[in-house]
Amino acid sequence: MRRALLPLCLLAAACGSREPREAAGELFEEAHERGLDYVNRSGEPGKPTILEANGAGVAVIDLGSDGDADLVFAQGLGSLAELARGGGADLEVFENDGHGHFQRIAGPGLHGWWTGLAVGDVDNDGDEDLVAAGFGQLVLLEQVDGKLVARPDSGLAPPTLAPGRAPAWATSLALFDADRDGALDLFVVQYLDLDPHAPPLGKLGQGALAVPCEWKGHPVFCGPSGLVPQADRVLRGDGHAHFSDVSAAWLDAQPAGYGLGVAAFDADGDGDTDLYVANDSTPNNLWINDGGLDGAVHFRDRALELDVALSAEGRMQAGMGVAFGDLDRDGREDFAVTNFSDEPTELYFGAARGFTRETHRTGLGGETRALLSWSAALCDFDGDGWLELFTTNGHVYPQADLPLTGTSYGQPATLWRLMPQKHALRVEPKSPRSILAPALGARGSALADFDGDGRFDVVLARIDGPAALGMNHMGPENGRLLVRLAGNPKLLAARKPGQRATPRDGHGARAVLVVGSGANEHGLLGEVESALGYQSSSTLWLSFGLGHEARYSQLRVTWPSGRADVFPGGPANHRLSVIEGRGIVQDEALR
Amino acid sequence: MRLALLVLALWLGDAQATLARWREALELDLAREVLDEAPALVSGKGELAANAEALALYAQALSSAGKSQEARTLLEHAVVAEPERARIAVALARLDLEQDKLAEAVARLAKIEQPDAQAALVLGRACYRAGETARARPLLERALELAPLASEAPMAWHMLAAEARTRGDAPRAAQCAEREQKSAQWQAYYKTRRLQVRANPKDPLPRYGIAELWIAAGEDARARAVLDELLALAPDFARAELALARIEKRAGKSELAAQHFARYRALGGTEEL
Repeated sequence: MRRALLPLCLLAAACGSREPREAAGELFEEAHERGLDYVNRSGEPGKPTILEANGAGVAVIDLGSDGDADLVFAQGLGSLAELARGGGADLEVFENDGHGHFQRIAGPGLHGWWTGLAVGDVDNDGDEDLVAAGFGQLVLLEQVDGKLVARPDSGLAPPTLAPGRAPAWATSLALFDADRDGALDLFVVQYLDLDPHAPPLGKLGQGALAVPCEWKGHPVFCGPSGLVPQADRVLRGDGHAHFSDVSAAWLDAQPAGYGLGVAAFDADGDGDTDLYVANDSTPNNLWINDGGLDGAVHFRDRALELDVALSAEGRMQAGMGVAFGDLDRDGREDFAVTNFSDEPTELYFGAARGFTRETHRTGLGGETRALLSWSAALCDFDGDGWLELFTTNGHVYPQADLPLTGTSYGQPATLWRLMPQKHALRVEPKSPRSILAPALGARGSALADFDGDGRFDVVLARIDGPAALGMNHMGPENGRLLVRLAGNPKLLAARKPGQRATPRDGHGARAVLVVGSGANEHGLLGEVESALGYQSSSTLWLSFGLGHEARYSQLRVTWPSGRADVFPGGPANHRLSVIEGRGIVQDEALR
Repeated sequence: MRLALLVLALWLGDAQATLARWREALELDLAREVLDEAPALVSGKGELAANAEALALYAQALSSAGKSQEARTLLEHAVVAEPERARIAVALARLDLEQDKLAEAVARLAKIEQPDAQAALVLGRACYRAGETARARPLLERALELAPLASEAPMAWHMLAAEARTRGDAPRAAQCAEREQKSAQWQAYYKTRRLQVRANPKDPLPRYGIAELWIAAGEDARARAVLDELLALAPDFARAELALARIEKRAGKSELAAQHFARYRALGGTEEL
């Protein structure tokens, strides 16, 4: 929500349009100055149970539909025992004044241990709604007059499990339009059975067959291995804020995994939205959409067949988060999957058939081996026309700080340049106030242009500590273009059964921005999806880096409805809003 | 002379036992145990200072503790007999792989004329990661031929399955994938059982589980050793006697089989041999 500028902005470091010298070239930490005072609680410091290690997600949402990026954070409690005693936390909400200054406002009044968040216009009324996942809960919060209001009749409540079963534990969520009916559907990633009243402690199994819960010889919390995984779910949305569980019809039968992260994107480039699910200590899934319409859609897991389920040598890894983007500018989506320490962050490039693993050939495997990474984003932070890889990191075990573990509990967030040399080059912080500097663990992260300068910034949900807000001061010399692709309510209303349609919020729309000329001409691919990273939801705006080009030569848009538009070129450093069937409805210079 | 030979044999036995313990510790992600024990044995005039396998295992433990450079230095300065140099090269190539130095790993191991299972596997992994899948294939096949029950065998099957898929050889891909699954399952059980033995060293049940795994793998000799160990701890564990009876019967040692079977019946067992 846009508010009058606060006096805080009079401080030099806090003013969006002025770049403190120290911040030049950095993702500069400005959470405190900008009023973002969220502090995560994720159980006890010793992390006796697995719930306490996984932390929270964060979502970018436009409250009030005023065009700026507000924030919602998931929140946990001080201990699992507190939850078992009936304690609960609310979501924490922060309004943006349009210049990247935040003010805490009242939460929606929920009560639970919250994990993942997803944003999308589930009722196609023109504003963004929120789905919140938690331990034993799944709630739709509809936006009404700029406020988030719980809808208990949404059909999202987790199914009642058999007596004695632990609560359904949802982690990451993806709002996406699976069946191209213009109504958002919901993929719910689920983790494992954990009894909050009697969590496993010290060992798993009984008697002589018990195995101590240890990591590198140190006693640690139990799981995920040895605990019962929960199957992921998919729910069909009707476009009126109601969902029905269609998992059995839409998903191939599949052994349940310990699900943590999800990204929705067009993995095979056939015009519909697929899903990649990062599973902890079980094979990952690549759910390929068969393109069915109006509920008659089906997803087949092709991860094993396409060799994107396991490590290069077939080992199950502890998948945490997923990011996608077109790294090599070949028009195909590539993606990265974060993993545990002693495992690499995997990098896959889209190919003519399937994917090629580039983890080791780029050197990313060696670079990331000591890190335990969570959220991930492929984003052109410096605007040079090539995407960088950003990850949040931090170990699950405080015992990682004991000698000879080869890793550490607190780990800094990391940024790598990968292209055009196809070589992982870590971007080192130049200032102690870079968000890449402090070795503090983080979990969720989300991208948005918070201060309206045309550069994507990044917000981090650190674990057991204050949030970080990395304001982007990278690549000031480079041109940018922000594009918002949205569906048309009139076209949606006129849609007939069996016709494809674009959701009001544009989920699933793809843009190719053509930049440069002659041998230097290239296309930059963008896809409107909010689900990426870990338990988090990013802006629906697309961000393009134009490098030193003063103009782009063309903008091609492919809508989920099947319609394709081509728009003529224009100057860099603009913000465009495009509505299907109406064209570019707003074109303003970035400030 | 006889005394000297006896001391040497005892020392060799000790050394082999130590190396076996270290191998197991690394397979169980317990590198700390190696890191506690190895420095005194492999450095300076330590008893295993010139033992290439000891150095390689210590280097692996160091790397697991985040001390890759120390591991590399240890290996690069190793003074070992020429036939043992290949083990050092393999250990260095493992470090190369961890740091994505694929070309270095390939160059280091390509010189070995008769690669053993480990050399073939590590070279195969390096080629595979570098995208040279056709070159990786015979190396991985050789590794499996030489050491089908090695802890890294599932990896080799996985890469062979993927390579066959790339070539469009669906039947071979399916066959390798099935072997991978079986091999991975066997290794997972083997790891769990060994952890159970460590957690409950006096209980016969996990050891019996290990013996069953060896029998399932056709390794009766290794099963026999585990069952003997088990019976030394729990002489009344009837199923161990039955298992031994069946092993001896398969080996054609009917008298021994009968003795074990008699003890099994005496302990209340009712199954037939």
